[in-house]
Amino acid sequence: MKGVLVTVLALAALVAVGGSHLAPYDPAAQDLALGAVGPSAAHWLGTDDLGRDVFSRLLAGAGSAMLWPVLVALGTTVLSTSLGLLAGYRLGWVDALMMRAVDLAFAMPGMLVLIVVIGVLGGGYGWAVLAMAVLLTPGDIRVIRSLTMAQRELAYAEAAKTLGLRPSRIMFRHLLPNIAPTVVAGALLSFVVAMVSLAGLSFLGLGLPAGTPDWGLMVEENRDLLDLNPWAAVAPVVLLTLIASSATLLGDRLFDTLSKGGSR
Amino acid sequence: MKSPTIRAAVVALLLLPVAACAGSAQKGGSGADRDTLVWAFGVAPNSLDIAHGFDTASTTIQLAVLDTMVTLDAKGVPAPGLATSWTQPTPDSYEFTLRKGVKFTDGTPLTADDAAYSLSRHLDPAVTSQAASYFTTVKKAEAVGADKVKVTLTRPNPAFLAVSAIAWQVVPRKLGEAHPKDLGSPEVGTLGSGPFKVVKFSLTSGTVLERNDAYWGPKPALRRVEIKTILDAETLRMAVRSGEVDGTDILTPREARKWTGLPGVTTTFYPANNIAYLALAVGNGPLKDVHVRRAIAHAINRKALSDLMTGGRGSLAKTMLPLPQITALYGDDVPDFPDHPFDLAAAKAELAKSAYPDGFTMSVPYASGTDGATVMQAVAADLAKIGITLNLEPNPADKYRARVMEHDRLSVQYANLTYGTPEPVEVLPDMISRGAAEPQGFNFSGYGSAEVDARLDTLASATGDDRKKQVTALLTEIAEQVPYIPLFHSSSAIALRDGFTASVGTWTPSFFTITRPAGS
Repeated sequence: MKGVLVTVLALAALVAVGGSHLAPYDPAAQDLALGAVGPSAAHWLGTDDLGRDVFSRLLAGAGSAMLWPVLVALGTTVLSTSLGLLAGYRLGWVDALMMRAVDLAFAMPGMLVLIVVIGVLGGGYGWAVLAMAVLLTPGDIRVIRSLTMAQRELAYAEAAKTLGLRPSRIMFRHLLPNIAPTVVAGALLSFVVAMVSLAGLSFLGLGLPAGTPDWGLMVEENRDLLDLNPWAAVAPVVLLTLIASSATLLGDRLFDTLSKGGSR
Repeated sequence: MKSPTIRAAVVALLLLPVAACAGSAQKGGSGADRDTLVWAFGVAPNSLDIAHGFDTASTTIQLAVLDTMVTLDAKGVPAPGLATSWTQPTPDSYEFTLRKGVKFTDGTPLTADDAAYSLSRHLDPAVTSQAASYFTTVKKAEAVGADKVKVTLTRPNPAFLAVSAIAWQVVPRKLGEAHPKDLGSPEVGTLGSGPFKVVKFSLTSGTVLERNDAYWGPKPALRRVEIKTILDAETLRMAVRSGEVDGTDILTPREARKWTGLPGVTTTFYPANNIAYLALAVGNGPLKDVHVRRAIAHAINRKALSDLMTGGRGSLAKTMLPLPQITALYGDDVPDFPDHPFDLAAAKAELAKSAYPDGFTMSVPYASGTDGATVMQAVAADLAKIGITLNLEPNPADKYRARVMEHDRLSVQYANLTYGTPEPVEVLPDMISRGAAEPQGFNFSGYGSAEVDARLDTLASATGDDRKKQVTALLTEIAEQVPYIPLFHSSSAIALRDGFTASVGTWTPSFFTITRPAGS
């Protein structure tokens, strides 16, 4: 099972990197006279109402569908791991301050904040990605903090302190490996949440500009074509679901594997 | 959209049957009786007063509830309404004779003073009427007898009667004076003498109308109309299909294929008084150069775009007037206006004459999820072929509309405006007057000059062949200077479940008065 999941995600990553080169047509090339037609030998997944090849747009759209969520996951993981370790290890006012900030962040409706950033303030897509990374961080901080608090009381951590090791060394060299399974699973979950959320923003017309080959945008632009070429809207949904499910399941499997095999 | 007038509603740049029930209980939709129509709009009506709700949904209801002094007949020609007749003693004045015995639905007699007041209030700055721009040539309106109303204009205006058919809606003076700012709101409501009366008006839970049995004219066949709002087009279609809703006018030619095949639903298309176009902001960077504007006009495949957007239920626009207005003015003798046919070589040649021979890049905002998004994608792809890169910037539709109406950073805007009368004078000042180039105006190109304003003033009082010549000259100038690129005219449509029938046309004032239970 894990092999299948890895294969799916590896293929997705491959297409994300080279999808534009693999596309049989220019994903932006229009043929208004052709319009929306169903699958054929020339257009495997048919065309949209502007006559653009859906298969080519799917391949070209894999980049934005995967790249931005990867950036969000990386940002979230680095931030939440660092801050969670710090709060859980240092405790005291550092922990109190950080947890109140986390409480405040939890009070904010994430999706609405993103809509405001993009739609009202005109912040642009890059700012939305940054905002999403920040918004996903508090939840992971709490998890990492609680795990760190448990680990810091164990004998190996006490021994490290007794030996006079610097706190940063204890946190990142000794505690972090023991909470790594959760960090890895959390990173994959962040990737999934980011991918679905960013696709949702695009579906709402608040993400990338019209015409960009983006899976969320494709669903929005082509949902009126279900009677002419359902694949134009269904295919990106299938891919989003497949990749999100694979990443979630892989996160679970990795957590189990790393937890069993983890060492102190 | 095609209902009465309502241009403001259709900035799409800017910009919903008693179930058939054959044989059985004679019930339709959610209505309890066969003569109850459940209607749906795609946007909620916001006021029962045109002064504060000059949009498609609001005005459709207003014209079912409030009488106008004149109406438009099936050909768009002014016809008697509350006024049984009128004379024009001088070129700049009208005298209307009021219909006798008309009462508001509360039983109060409708007087000449009410009629005069209902026009004058649009001139009152305290009212801040959205219809004020229709009556800029009105100097005063006064009751000059028990059944006479005199209107004095600042100058002759042949369009006055036509615009009055939409906007001179008569309300009681007492009510209007008590509520200058909030007449028509859910809290205040309105009082009319029209074929229907308002039973309920809510911004959130809908509107209910009932037949005015004391109406002076032909009684509506419908006893009750329940109006709801369904924002999503596909949800609305499903509601009509299921019989939850009996009728709607919120369907576009692009969606015609989805509606025409619906079982138990009849869809009727008719010519809309609209014009879809691109406005090029002549004060913005490269667009200042007429050669750039001509290059853009040549580079866009307007025929393909027209076919895409109208689904074959429309036509390529060749000049900047709605088709019914062109027909009303010229008949079959339409002049050949200068054209910029789709021709990439000609586009490149024009661009070579400009200060931007290699093209340029420009940011272009658009409204997400609207026809404008589709149009601008097609336009951007066409312009890329001559080196002009449009960076499309998505905006929520409301934000985009507000931004365009504020004339904020205008560049290339798609708009689709529907007008209410057959008068070109309704359109041209919107397009090229300097006044309309100010925020809240519809001159999105910013094109205009003192000389053009003077010509528009002259046109306002011109008649006959002189009028045709002046309109032709202005349209020719627009075609040559390209502040606008006309794209297409589309049809309007209504969909009704089989339990109802309606004979609808371009100048139909209210769907509710012309809809009747099938077989009645």
